[in-house]
Amino acid sequence: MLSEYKLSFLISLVLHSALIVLSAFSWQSVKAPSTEPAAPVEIIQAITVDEVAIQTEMKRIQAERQQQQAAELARQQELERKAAQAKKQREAEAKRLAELEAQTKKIKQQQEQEMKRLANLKAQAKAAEQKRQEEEKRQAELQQQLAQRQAALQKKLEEEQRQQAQLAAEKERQLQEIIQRYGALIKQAIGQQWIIPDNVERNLSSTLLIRLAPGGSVVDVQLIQSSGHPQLDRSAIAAVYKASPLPVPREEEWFEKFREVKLTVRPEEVFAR
Amino acid sequence: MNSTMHQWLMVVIISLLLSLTGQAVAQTKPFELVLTRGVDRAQPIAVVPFAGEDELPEDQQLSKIITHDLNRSGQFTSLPSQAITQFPSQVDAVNYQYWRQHLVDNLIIGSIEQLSTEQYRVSFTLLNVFNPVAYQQILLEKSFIVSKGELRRLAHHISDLVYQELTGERGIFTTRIAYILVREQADGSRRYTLEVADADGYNPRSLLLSTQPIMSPAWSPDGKHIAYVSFEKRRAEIYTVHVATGKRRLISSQVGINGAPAWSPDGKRLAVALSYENQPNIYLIDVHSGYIEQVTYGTAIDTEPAFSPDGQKIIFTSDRGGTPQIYQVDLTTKKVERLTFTGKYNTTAQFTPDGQRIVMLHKTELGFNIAEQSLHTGALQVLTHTKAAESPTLAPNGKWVLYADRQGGRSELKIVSIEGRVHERIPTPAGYVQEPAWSPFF
Repeated sequence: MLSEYKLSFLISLVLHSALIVLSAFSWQSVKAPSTEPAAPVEIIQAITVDEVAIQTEMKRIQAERQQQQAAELARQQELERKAAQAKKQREAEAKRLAELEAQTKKIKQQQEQEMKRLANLKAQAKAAEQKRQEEEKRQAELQQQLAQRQAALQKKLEEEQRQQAQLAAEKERQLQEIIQRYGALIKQAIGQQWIIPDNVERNLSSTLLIRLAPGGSVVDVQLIQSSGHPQLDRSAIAAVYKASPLPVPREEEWFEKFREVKLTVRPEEVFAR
Repeated sequence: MNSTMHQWLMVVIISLLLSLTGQAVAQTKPFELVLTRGVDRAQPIAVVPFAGEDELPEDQQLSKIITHDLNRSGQFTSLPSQAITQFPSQVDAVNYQYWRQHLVDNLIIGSIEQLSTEQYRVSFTLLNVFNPVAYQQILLEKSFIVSKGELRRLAHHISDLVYQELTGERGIFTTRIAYILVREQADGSRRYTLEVADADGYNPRSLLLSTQPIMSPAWSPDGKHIAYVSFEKRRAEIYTVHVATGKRRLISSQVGINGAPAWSPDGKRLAVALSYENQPNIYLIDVHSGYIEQVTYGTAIDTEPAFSPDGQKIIFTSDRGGTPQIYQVDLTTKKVERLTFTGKYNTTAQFTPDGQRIVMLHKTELGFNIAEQSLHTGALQVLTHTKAAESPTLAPNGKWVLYADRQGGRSELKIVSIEGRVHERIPTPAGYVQEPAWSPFF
């Protein structure tokens, strides 16, 4: 610690000595009135010199000097401090610079590395891109093939569907035709056996449920709605049995439509004799 | 899980499956048809000879009488006896398949059993051959105990029952007919009898016998009396005779013509043609009191009255229009209107029981024939195709017309069904037959 303040102490010592010396001289000089003779001496008014006042003044001047010294000291100290600070700062700065340099170097290194890496990556990416493009191309080709095949399949499917629809429509048409034809045949077969009772009102009607076996044989006949006229009901039931076997299609799937027949009879007219 | 639980589970699963398939089947919609045209044909029927009847004389063999009745009705056609090879007399012996193959709709079977010398038990069953519900195949099943003499009438009664069951209409097989029979005697004189016979002409019985003409028999609505015109006092008089006893009562003996008696539907009055005041006009005579009320007026000849079924109107023959035509008078207002406009000669008209049509004697190009006319439309339909028909009389169910048909020097009784399908002759004893009258229902 002492070594630190060594310089400062030395300087202080020097300065104080100087000060003392100076003050000694100054006092002396103070004692002597101003050397500036200059003017014609005028009758100076005699000023009573007050010892106290001189002492006070001397104290004041001392104090002032002390203050000046202190200030000076302070200033010196300040300077020292500032110097030290500056040095510190310079050192720190140097350090920082060094660090910065190091850092910069490091960064540069890193940058170079990074650049290398990037370059690498770029190269990789390029390679990958190429690969991808090739893959894409291949995929596209595959897709195309697939699409083509699908299109072909789709077409085939549509074609089949169209054919199916046609077949279905054809079948439907056939069915309607069969229904018409056999419906008329069945009605005629039963009608020719249906003896209408003499005194029955034309707006009466009976409804029967007829069950047929393949081939048209009447399995059974149920009266599901009476006309209220028992002779009319019976005449219809007898007609169905007498007309058995009823004309029905031979193919099983067409026959299924006629397995159950709901027949309503209404005596509106007779076959011309 | 033990065995029983396992079984139950199977039952549940199976029934569920079954019900599902049942549903599937039930959901198929039945094919729907509407039939509006049939045939106008007689119903085929088979009457199997009754067990035990071949021991009876032929005219008492019930199945034969029934067959004949049903055939002449025009509504039925019986399977000929030659075609019948099965002879059930009990319901359980009936093989429906056999009868269905013969295309017969209905079947009558029966039996007759002699209980004592005079008593017989007769049973019959009417069966529907095609009825799908087994226990409903029996339409009629009855038993009777009758004396020998009643067998024929019982057969007619069975015919009535069968007819009613199968057509819904009342049968006429137990009704009667009355007619005038004129017989030439060896000495050249004539015998006139009022005969009453079964509707098929069997069992004629003479109700009245006279050496003078008997005319215009008319049955009372209850079938107990016959009104007629008698010339026994050498002039026309109107009498009624009680059929069961033969007891007679004089109704009208006015000066001039007393003719064409016709009973009111309530049996209380007779419409007659009287000429005591003028030319023949229609009058009403109260049977009980003899009170006379004039109905038609004028100088034309009005005769042959007949009441409408509701008793409010009388139709009659009149020449007031120039030629004989049928007219109608309203008994309340006495207003007269003409009914027939077809042809130049229309006489002897009668209402059908439904009041919708009239049956009359109508002259065609061919000759005199029976025709029926709809009162609603005025359309006239000729039923016979002969030359000299006369005296049409309607069956009480309106289904037949009985008339006399002159052929050469003879005359016969014939029936024609109202739609013209059936023509048949009614057997009568030897002699000249005229003016038949069909009885009401008894």
